[in-house]
Amino acid sequence: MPDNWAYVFAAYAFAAVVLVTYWRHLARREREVSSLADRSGASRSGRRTMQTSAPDSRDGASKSVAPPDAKSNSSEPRDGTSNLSEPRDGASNSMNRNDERGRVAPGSAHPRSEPASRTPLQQS
Amino acid sequence: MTPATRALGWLAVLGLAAGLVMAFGVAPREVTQGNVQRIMYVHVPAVGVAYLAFMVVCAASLVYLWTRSPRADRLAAAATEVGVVFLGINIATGSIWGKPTWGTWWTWDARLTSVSVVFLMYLGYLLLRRMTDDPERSARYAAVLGVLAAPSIYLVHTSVYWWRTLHQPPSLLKAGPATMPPVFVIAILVNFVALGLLAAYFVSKRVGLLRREQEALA
Repeated sequence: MPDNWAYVFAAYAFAAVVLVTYWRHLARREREVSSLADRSGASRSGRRTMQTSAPDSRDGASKSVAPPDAKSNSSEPRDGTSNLSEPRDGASNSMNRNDERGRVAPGSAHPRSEPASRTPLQQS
Repeated sequence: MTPATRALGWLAVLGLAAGLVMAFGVAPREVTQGNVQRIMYVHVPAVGVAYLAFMVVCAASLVYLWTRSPRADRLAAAATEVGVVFLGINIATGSIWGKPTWGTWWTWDARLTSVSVVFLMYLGYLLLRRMTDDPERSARYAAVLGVLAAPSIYLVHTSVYWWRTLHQPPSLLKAGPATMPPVFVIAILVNFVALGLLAAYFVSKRVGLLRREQEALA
């Protein structure tokens, strides 16, 4: 019977490709999970800061909870797109502009735009 | 990655190197089939590892149904994924071996058909886990399927006895003395250990990833 080395190498090459591909898939997932954990850890610590420093933001007192120049809020997408919690209609945009002229723009640590402010805040 | 997982990975690399040496350096050319028989050193260990992984799935699924332990669920999910990878390698390498030996890539005999059904069942298991949004319900459904699918492994193994098949009966997992020369048996066992270590490394890594994913999303 002929040796058929091509089939032998094809079988071993196929097995190697599958195993290496799965290993690389796991490595990629590991990197994704690491970045996800970093983001969720950062947003959790951000929320904790919100809860401890702005206890009465529900009644409209809207104390400043972050520095006005805090652009790198953890709840904002990193790719520069607008935050989903920002209102999109024209009226709201004019309100946003008013807010910007005031203190802090929504989506950048403003109490009304942060997820933590949508649930009752814990009284410290 | 834990030090134990990393150690498993390096052991697997050493084992794979030893397996290649056994398959291509130590084991002689088989008289009847020629060198194409060397495919058996990856084909047979791969299915053995897949069977082991699916037994782990069954045991972990039973533990999950009994205790609702998330650790058992993660182990079952990881072992299924790894088992599917190794069973896929088994089916593909068997097909590659079949072309020069049987003259066909595929035939619907009992062994090949039953192993394809098992492959699809565990692919369905992975699909089922992604179909349900509720993690607890997803884990429960998957655990039930993980238990129900396990007897099919026995069916695959005995299919060559129950039906007339083109696939030969087992050479290793059978009663009575071995019918192969010891050097072939040792080469298969070395590769089985190597692929087993690799599978353990993959499962350990996958379990850790699942735990971290769940912690990050919690």
